[in-house]
Amino acid sequence: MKSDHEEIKEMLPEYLRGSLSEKLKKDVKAHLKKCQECKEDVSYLSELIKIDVPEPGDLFYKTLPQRVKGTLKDEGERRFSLRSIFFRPILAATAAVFIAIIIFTFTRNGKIKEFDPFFKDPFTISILDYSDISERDIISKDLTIDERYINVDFMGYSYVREFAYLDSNEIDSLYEALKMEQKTGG
Amino acid sequence: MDADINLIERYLTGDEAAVDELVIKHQKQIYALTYRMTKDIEDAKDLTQKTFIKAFNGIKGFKKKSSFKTWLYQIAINTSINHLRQNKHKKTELEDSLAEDNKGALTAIIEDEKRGLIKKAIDKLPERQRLAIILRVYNELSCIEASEAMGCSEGAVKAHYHNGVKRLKEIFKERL
Repeated sequence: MKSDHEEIKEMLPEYLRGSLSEKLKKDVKAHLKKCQECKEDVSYLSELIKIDVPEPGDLFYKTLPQRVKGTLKDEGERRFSLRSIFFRPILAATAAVFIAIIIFTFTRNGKIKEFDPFFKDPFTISILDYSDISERDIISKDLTIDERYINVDFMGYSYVREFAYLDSNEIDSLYEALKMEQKTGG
Repeated sequence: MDADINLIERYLTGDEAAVDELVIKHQKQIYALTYRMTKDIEDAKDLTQKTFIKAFNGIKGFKKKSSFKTWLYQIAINTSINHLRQNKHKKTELEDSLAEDNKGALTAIIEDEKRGLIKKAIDKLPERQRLAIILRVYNELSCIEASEAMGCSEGAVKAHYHNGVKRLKEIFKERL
């Protein structure tokens, strides 16, 4: 439990500014008569209260509300512009669609590949030397022996190249002709 | 309903006149507090404005558990402490040079030496002790209000206040 001395010591600032009830004021006065320590405290605290704060000037107080409102408005507008882009659903969706279109366009045109510093497009390489590779070499590498047999006649002539130049209609009519030939036994 | 809470409600519904009323009501006390913390008129003016701007920007975070005044003091204290910590080095250098330049002039000007000594003694107190004395003696906050403003327990405020007053007397006696 606290002693009277401690309780009164805590009340001294309120006593000095006169905010205590009459009863408490009397109690403090009575205590001060017999307590040197609290008397000393009152003396120092009274001196403290006398230390003035220099006036900042009337203009400061008059213009402060306006300056505070002005700053709040400026900051509010800055925040609004950021929010309008990132936090408003309609604008956010529009921005997302716009970004998606840009990415799609770039990807489709192959332009995005330009961003890869290690990527080398083989079709852009203009000097390719195939002089030492013959057609026969390619076939022998890519096809099995059976496939070579099917595609190459006994004279060693490849039909692959000739068929490659036919369009789909020509292949269809050739197919039909072959079928008719097979049926008629011609 | 508390008058300040009513003004806050008005501000939140878009009434800008509520800002005027709240600033006018509390500006002198906030300026006095920031001046006592910084001892510089220009810094105190700047910090007073910053305190109100921070308060209105974060008004939605005001829980209404304490009074608006106490909450405002809390912001002013934190803003002033941050300012003092950021400018500690610069400030000390400036004060030292001013003290040397005006040593003779100051003693001639200050009539009340006792008051001058107490003022200097306050500046020498640790931050929390100085703050407890400023809030209790100058800004007329109760121990509970001061504890809310300082963000500590009521007991801690009482301890800081008592140790501060004790240290103040010791410094004063050493100087006499």
